[in-house]
Amino acid sequence: MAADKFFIMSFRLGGFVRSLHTSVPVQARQKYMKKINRLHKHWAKELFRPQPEYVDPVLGQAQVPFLERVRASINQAENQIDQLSPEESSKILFGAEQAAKQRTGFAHNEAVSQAEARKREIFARLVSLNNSNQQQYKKQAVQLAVKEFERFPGDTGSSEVQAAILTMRIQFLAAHAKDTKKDLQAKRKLEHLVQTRRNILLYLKRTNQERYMWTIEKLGLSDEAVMAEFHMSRQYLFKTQFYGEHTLPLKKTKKDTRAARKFEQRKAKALKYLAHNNPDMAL
Amino acid sequence: MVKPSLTGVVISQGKMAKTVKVRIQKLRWNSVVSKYVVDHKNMLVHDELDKCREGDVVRVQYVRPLSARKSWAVAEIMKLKGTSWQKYQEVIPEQVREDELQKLKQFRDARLQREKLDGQDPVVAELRLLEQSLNGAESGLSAEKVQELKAKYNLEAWPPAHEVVRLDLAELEEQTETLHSEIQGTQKYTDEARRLLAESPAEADEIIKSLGKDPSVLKAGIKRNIIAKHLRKSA
Repeated sequence: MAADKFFIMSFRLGGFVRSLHTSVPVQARQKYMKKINRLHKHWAKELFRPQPEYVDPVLGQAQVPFLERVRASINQAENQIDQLSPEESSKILFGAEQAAKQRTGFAHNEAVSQAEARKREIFARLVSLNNSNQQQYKKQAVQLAVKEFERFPGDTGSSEVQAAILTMRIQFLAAHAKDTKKDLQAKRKLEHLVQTRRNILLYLKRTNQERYMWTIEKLGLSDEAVMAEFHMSRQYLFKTQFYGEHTLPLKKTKKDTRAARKFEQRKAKALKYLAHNNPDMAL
Repeated sequence: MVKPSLTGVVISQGKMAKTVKVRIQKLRWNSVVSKYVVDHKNMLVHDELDKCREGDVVRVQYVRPLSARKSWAVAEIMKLKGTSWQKYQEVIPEQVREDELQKLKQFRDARLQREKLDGQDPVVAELRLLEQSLNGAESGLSAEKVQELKAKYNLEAWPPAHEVVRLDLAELEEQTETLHSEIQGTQKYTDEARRLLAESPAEADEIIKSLGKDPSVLKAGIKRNIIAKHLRKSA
């Protein structure tokens, strides 16, 4: 009996003591929930924040006006190799024709004209860019790039010009590397060119921000693509599908799986938070 | 009392109202490696006017505790590097777009011109047609156009009796001739100086002395050059 009484008393006392302190765990829980809510709100914000568009650090954006123009310019059917152009050649050939007519005293104009016309045809075939090689195409592209980026006539050494020349070489080499998957030297060389261009652009950014911005805009690159560390890794090849359908698949690492799972969890919590607090945004 | 002030770079802006994060860099002595190492401290700083941008160099000054983590304020912006960077990011893409449109137009015009003239130089194309019409062949030129071209190139019949187009080669030839005559001119004075030295050395010495130089020290070739120069100048 005495034990019962003691039990009841202690229970009552206990209840009394507990009732005095109930506010402490409730407050702690409220504080904790507030903290969690703030975190979920942050995740929700992150989820809907617009991400900058991914720009390929090797080839840049697609359909860059400057590169398209260079491509169109070097693919004209009348183009001639080296420093020649059809306009300049026509002057020399006209002079040659007149000289040939002069030799005959302008007596057999018709025959001379026909012979010279045939010579012109042969000359056009000999110096045609179409009948030459990729090296000549690249040369012309480089010349156009130098003219476009030079600070003054004859400038071949400023950072912009160097970056533009490297871009041309990268474009040509990348096309080759894509065609010939097993040319590993080309792949290695391509990486080297991209790194060189990156170093030059970083120097330009440090010394002349305005010119840097102009150059990357013109070449179709972005600040993120230049600033980010670059390796010709399998991740990069997979991400850009470098070899088209022949690109090797990427094995998922444990790290990737963990990151994906974490992202899914955060996403679920963020959406739950939005459904409770801001249903419009969640939709 | 002078309030403490520091210089730093804005590393974060726009995330909190009227507040920026500023990085203060300093050198700290590391006793393990016995040298100064670069160290930094980030602080939240009050920016009343919201003028700072990421990358700006600012001077910050202690004011008083403004909030739990903020007791410094921006006193002045020393370099507007971040502000100008933001401006370039807005302005330059538009500039490049306009520039590209213009360049594209130029390319298209050149392309059309080349197609029209079949890859010939405009002057060559005109002369070729003019030659045909002057020789009585069918050129497709109207009589007015022929008259116009005749006047332009000052031609009456083909073959032309005078130089129709000034060639680059002709210009080079002229330049060579001028250079040649210049060299000939100098040669004349050198010869004269040589003759003077051989025939009347006393006279030559006097000329050199009059120019403030000692003839006994100078070598023969140098004497000759000095006299040649003197003769050329006095001529």
